[in-house]
Amino acid sequence: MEKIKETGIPLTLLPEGTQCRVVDIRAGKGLTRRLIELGFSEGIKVRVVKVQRHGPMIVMVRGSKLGLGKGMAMKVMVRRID
Amino acid sequence: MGSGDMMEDHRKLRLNFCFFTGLVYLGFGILLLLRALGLGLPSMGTINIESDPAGGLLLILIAAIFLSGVQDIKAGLREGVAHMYVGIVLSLFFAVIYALAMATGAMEAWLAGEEASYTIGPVIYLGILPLAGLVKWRTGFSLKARVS
Amino acid sequence: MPKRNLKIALAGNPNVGKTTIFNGITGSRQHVGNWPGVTVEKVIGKRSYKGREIEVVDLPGTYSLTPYSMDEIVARDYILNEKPDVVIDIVDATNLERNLYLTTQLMELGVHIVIALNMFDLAESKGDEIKVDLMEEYLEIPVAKTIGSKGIGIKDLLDKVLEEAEKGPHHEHNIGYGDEVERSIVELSRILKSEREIARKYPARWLSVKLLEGDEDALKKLKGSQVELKATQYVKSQDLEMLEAHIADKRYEVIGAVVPHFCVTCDTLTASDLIDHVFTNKYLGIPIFLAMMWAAFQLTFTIALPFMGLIDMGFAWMAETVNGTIQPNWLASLIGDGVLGGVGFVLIFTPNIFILFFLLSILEDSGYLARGAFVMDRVMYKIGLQGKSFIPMLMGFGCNVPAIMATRSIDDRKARLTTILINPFVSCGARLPVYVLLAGAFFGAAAGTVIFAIYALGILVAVLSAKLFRATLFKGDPQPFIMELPPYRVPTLKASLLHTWDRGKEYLKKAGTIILFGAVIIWFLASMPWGVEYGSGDSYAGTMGHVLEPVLAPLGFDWRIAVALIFGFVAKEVVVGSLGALYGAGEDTSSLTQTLQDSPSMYPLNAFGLMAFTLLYTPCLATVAVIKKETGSWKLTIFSIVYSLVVAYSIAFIIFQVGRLLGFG
Repeated sequence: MEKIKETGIPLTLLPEGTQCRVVDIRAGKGLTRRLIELGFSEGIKVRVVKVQRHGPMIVMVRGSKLGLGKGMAMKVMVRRID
Repeated sequence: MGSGDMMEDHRKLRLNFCFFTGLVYLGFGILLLLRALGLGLPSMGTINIESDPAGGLLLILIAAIFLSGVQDIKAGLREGVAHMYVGIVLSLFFAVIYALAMATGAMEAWLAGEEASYTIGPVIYLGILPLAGLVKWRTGFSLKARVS
Repeated sequence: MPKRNLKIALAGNPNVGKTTIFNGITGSRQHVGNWPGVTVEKVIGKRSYKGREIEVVDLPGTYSLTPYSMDEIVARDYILNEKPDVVIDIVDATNLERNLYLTTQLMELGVHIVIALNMFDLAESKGDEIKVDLMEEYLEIPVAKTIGSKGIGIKDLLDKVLEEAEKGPHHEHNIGYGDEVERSIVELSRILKSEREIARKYPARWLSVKLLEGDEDALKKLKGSQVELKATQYVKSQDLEMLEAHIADKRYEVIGAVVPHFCVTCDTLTASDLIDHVFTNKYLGIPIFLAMMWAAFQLTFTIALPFMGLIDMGFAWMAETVNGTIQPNWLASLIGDGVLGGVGFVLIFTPNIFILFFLLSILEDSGYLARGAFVMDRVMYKIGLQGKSFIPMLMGFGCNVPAIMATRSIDDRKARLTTILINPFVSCGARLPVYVLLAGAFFGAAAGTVIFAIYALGILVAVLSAKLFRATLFKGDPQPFIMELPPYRVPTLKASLLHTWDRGKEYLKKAGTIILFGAVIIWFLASMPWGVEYGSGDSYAGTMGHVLEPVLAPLGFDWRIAVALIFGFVAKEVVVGSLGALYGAGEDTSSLTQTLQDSPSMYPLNAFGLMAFTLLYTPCLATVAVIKKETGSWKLTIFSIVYSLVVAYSIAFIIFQVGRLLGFG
C-alpha cells in the first residue's frame, strides 16, 4: 500500500485567504488522530482565515472553523490550489 | 447613475461614520485619561469628564475598532464593515453597563438616605452616535446576515 | 410485542447542542453522577413517551471513538457494554462532513442509530441546502431535523427512535476500506471470531478495524483471551501507521462522496466570520477580551449589590431574633453567633458568584469564550499553559471549586495539573469579605485600589508559580493549540441558567456543609471551656492562637489573627467571622470595623499583610477536597497546601518587614 505522497509545504507558510489541499500529516499518533477527528485528512480542502506572527492561526476545514497552533499547523503539509 | 455609484455612496457613508465616531471617541477617551492622571482643565466639568481611567481606555478601544475599520473599508476588504457593526454593539454595550452602575449607585445612596448624585459621563452620552448607526443600519445586525 | 422500556444514549461532537437536546428529551428528570473510576460526568435522564419509559444517557461529546481521551473511552465503552437500544447521533447541520466522521464509527459498532440534524436553521440561513430524505437514503439512517435551543423536533426525534428500536438486528453499514485492508480485516476477524467470548462481546469487524488502526484500548480488550497472542501477532505484522491514516482517509472519502448528494454548502462570509474579523484581530483581540472581562466583573457587582444588601439585612434580623428569643443562652449563642454568623457571611456573596457564573455561561454559550481562549493562547503559552487553561482561571474569581472542576477539558495532563495547582491563587469570592473589611477599615478612599492590588498579586503569584512548575515539576512543552471556534449564536436562557446552576451549586454545597460544620466547631472552640467569654484569650481557640503567636509575630500578626487564620482554613470568609468573634464585636460589620480600627494590634501595614496572607495561604477545605478529587493524588494535594503556606508566609513576611523598615509600621 505504498502511496507516493505529493510534496507539500507546511500549512504555516500560507498567507491569509488562500485555499489549499492537505497532502500529508506528519505528526505523532496522538496529534494525528486529533487532527483527523477535527476534519483534516488527505485531499481535504483547507482555507486559511487568519494568520498571526505569534500565536495560533484560524482555518476552515470541512465547514468548521478551527484555531490551530503553529506547532500543529507545521505538521500539516499542503499544496496551494488557487 | 448606476448601482455602482449607489454602492460607492453606501461605502462612503460607512467610512465617514466610522471615521467621525472613531475620532470623537478617541478625543473623549484621551480627555478621560488626562483627567485620571490629574491633568485637567476645570472646563471639563461641564462635559462631565471625571477621573475614570477604565472609561478612558474603553473609549480609546472603541475608537480603535472604528478607526481600523476605516482602513479596512478603504482597502475594499469585505470584512471591513465588521468593524462598524462590532463597534456599534460594543459601544452601546458599555454605555448600558455604565448606565446600570450609575443607576445602582444612585439608588443605593438614596436608600441609605444620602444625597443621590450621578454623573452621565461620555461613555454613556457618546452612545448617541452608535445609536444613530444602529438605527440606520438596523437590518445588518443579525447573526443570520451574510456577505458574499 | 414492543418492549416497554428503552435505553438510549446521546452521542455527538462537542458544541453541537447535545445538552439542549438532552434537556429537551428529559426535562427536569435528570441526575448527574460519575462514570466509575474516572472524573467524567455521567448524566442520566428519563422520559415517558407513548407509553414507554425511556432512560437517556448523555455521553460525553467526542469527535470520534478512537480513545484519545477519557471522554471517548467512556462513550465507547458505554455503547459496547451497555448495548443501548438506540444511539442518537447529534449532528451539527452547519458542519456536516466533520460530524459524520463520528457517525461512521457508530455505524461500524452495529448499533441502531438515529441522527438528530441539529441547528438546521443556522445552516439554512447560511445558504446551505440539506435534503433530509436523500440523506436518510444514502446513510441508511433515519434523520430527524431539530433545533435543540428552541425545543423543535424532539417529538419527531423520539418517534424515529421508537421506530428504529423496533427494527431487527441491524445489518452493519460497512465502509469499504479498499481491497488490501479488507483482506486484513477478514483475516483478523476470522482470528477474533474463533473465541466465543470475544465474538459475543464485540462486533468482529469493528474490533478488527480498531486493532488495525492501532487502537490501544481495543488491544486491552483482548487481554487474557485465547486469541490475544495470535491477534496481536497479526496486527504487528501490518504497517500500522499507514493503516491508520488510510482508514481515516477512507472514512472521509466515503463521507465526501456521499454528502454532496444531499447537501450543498454556500461559501459566503457569515456574521460569525465578520465578528471574528474584529474579535480575533491581532491588535484588538486581547484588549477587547480584557474589556469584556472587565464588563463581566462590573456587571456582577452592580447587579449583585441590592441582593447582597437584602441577604445581609435578612441575616442580621435573624441573628437579632435568635439572640432575643432562644433559651438557653448557649443555644442562642450557638445558633446566633456560630451558625448564622458563619454561614450568613458566606451566603451574602452568593449573588456575586452566581451572577459571575451566569455571565461566563452566556459568554461560553455564545461562542465568544472560544475566541477568548484563542486570543489569550499567545499569552498563556508564555507561562507554559494553553488557551484552554484560562477559562478555569476566570471561574476562579467566583469560586475555585467549580473552576478546578472545569480543568477537565484540558487534555494535556501536565498542563492540567499546573492549572489546578495555581488556581487557588486566583482570588475567589470568599476572600472578598476579608479585603472589604480590612481595606475599608484601614485604607479609606484608597480601599478599591488596595483590593485591586491584592487581586493583581494573586494573578502574579499564579503566573510565576505556573512558570516555576512548568520548569521543574511538570516539565514539558505546552500542547499545541487546537480548538474549534463554533459559530456565534444567541445563548438560550435555559441552557445558560442550567450551566450557572451546575457551577454555582458547588458553592452552595460548600456553604451548606463544610462551612456549617466548620462554623459549629469554631463556635465550640471559642466558647469552651465552659463559662469562658466568647472568643476570649482563655477559650480553646484563644489558647491555640497564643501557641501560634510566636510563629506569626514576624508577620505582624497577633494571636487573634492566628486563630482567625486557622479557622479560615475551613472557608476563607470565616476569617471575618472569626475576627468578629475574637474581638467580641458581634455581627455588625461596621462595629467590627470600628473595633479593629481601635485595636492596637491592627494597623494598615499588617492589615495589608493579612489580606495578602489570606489571599495566598492554603486553599479552603472545599478546594482541597476538589484538588484531591481532580488530581487523584494525596501527594499533590499536600504539596498544594504546603506550597501555598510557604508562599503566603514569605510574602506576608516581606510585606511586614520591608514595610516596617520603610517606616509604615
